[in-house]
Amino acid sequence: MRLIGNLRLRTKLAIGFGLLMFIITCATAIGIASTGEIRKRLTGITENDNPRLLAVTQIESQLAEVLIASEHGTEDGSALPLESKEEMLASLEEVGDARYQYVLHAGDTASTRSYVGLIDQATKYAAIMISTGNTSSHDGLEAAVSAVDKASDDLKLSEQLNFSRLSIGAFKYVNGVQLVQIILFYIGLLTSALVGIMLVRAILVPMARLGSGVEAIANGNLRFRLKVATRDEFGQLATAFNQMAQMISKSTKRLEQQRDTVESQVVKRTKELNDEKARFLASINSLPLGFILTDRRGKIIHVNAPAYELLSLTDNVVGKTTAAISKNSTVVQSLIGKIDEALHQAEGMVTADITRDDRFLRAFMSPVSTHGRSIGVVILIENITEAKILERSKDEFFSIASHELRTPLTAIRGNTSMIMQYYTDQLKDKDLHDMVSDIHGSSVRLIDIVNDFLDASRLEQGKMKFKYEQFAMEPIIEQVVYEMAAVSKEKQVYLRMANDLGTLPEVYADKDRVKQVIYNLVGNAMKFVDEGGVTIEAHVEGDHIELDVVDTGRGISHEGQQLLFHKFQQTNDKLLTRDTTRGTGLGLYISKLLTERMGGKIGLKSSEPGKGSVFFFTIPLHPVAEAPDEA
Amino acid sequence: MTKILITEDDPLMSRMYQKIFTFEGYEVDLAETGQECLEKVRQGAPTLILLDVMMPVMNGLEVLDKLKADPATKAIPVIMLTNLAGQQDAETALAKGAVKYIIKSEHEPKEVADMVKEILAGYTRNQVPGV
Repeated sequence: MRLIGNLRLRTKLAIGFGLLMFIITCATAIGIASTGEIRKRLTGITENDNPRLLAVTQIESQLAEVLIASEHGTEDGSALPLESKEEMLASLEEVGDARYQYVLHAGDTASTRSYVGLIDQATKYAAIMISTGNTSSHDGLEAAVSAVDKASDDLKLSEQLNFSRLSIGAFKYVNGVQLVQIILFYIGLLTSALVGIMLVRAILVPMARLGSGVEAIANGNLRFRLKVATRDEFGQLATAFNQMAQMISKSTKRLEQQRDTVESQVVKRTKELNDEKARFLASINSLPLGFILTDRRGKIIHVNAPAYELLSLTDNVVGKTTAAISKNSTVVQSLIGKIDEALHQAEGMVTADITRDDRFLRAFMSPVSTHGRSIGVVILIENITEAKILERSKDEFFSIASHELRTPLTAIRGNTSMIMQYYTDQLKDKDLHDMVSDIHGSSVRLIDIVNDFLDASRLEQGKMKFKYEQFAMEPIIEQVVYEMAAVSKEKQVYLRMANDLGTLPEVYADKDRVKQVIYNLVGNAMKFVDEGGVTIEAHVEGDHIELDVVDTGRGISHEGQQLLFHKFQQTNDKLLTRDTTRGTGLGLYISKLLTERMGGKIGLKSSEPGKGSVFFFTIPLHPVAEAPDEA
Repeated sequence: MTKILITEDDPLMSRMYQKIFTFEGYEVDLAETGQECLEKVRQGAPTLILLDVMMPVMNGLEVLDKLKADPATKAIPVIMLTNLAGQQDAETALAKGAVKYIIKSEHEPKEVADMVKEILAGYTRNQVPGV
């Protein structure tokens, strides 16, 4: 700031000085003009302006008047007429005034005194003439007047000479003044010019240098430096400029180095990226699935060969939109909406099944997300024709198994039971009876196994239909107890139901499936009870009814508890007795699937080895929103 | 004598049910196909028909339709026998006029015979159509 302040002061001083010189120059010009005017006026001055000359002329002419007036008296020799006398007196008065003016302006000199003496001589003769009218006095007057005239002419001449001399002196003086003024004017002009040049040299030249320096730097000549010639502000500025240039040069160098580093890194990373890309492309292209990658506008970026094949595409579709390839194949039309859906979700997968002639395709669409933004969609297309055929044959298998397996089993079961019932005489041999009984028991078990398998797979595939209705639990429980009575009787254990079951509200579920679950839990409990028995309790728990099956059996070990409700899992072989085991390990698993489908829960509430277990399951009181297919 | 017409394409089943109903004192007639069943019904109406669902050519439900469509035969009680596990079939059959739907594998032959006896007892009380 100091730098600029001083510069400002100096500039101000220079401008002030320049202004001063300008004013002086102006004043000089005005002086020159006025001197010219003086000279012009001096030239115009004449004798009329000289009071002495005026007085002399006045005296001369008035004395002539006196002389003329005095001649009237001399012609008839008589005294002067009054008229002439008066004229003479008036003229004499004028002469007197002029004489006074002359003395006043000429001063008391010898020539003045002699001239005034001559006038007084003439005046004296005139006075005599007036009073006497005498001719002699007229002659005297005439002589005196001519003497005055002569003196007047001499005076006039000397006045004119004197005046000329004075004028020449004045001219010389004026000319001298004018010369000085002209010299001053040029000096002022020169000084102003010098100040201007100095200003230019002091400010504009360094400014221009600085400007060219900045330009040089801007054009990339970072080695450009200003010469520091002075120690003033411009010197400081130049130093600062050079420092700045150096800094720019340094940082440019550093930037260049960084750029080189970055460039080498870019090369390295690009190579790595290319390697990654090659790996991914190889992976994608070797996929047995169709693969399509789009950007976020639905433009196709990559398609692998299986996709072309699966979608029966013939043209290259890379770079086209998914809408464009829909023209190639009607299949893709159904995909577009799903692609859009996938694009607008943050994560997860959208699937779409496509049926195309005799081909079943399944498309999986996932958004490609980065920084919480979808930048495209990955579409995987799987040919599920085989799976569909397999699924259909599986359905057929279950149907056949259901019928074809159960028919011979039913024959075995039915015939053995009839043998035991109607041929008791022939079966008196205990071993024979036992063998037939075992055949019968085995067929029953096989039928159960087939039923369990069918139930489990239909549940897993969601193919089991549920018939939902509102019903009371108590009659269902009573039925189970009734049907299980034979078993409890045989095992000599009790099977009870709590007294308060009649007061329970109705539940909303499939009555037969609920019964199946109760049957399963009670049946299981019965298997493991040797002493005591099984109690069925129930109570309202929130918006569900919870049914507890409490047994006094052997309980289940900790390890065994982990295996409950899993497919094909039985707690422990040694816990099972051969004659009562139904044997598939699917009972609890099916119960779990059934209960959950109906919107309930099932589980082991507590179990203590040696004391017994409590299993529970819950059934909703009202329709559950997500209860699946009620049809 | 109460006559039961067993319509079963599978000889294992046919023979088993023939035996139990014979043991239980019924007159038993057998039909292997749906057409045979309809023919036999026309020749002499049975007291009750046991009708298998899954049969070749004409299945049990079609036979049931024809029986129920004919005024001469529609009053004969029909019990559907099947080994197909499916509620829908049972509901369809009952809706078409069958009196009962029995899954063969779930019941002993004696139980089936008892069910028939029970049904016939009900019909007798309510003046079963003449034999």
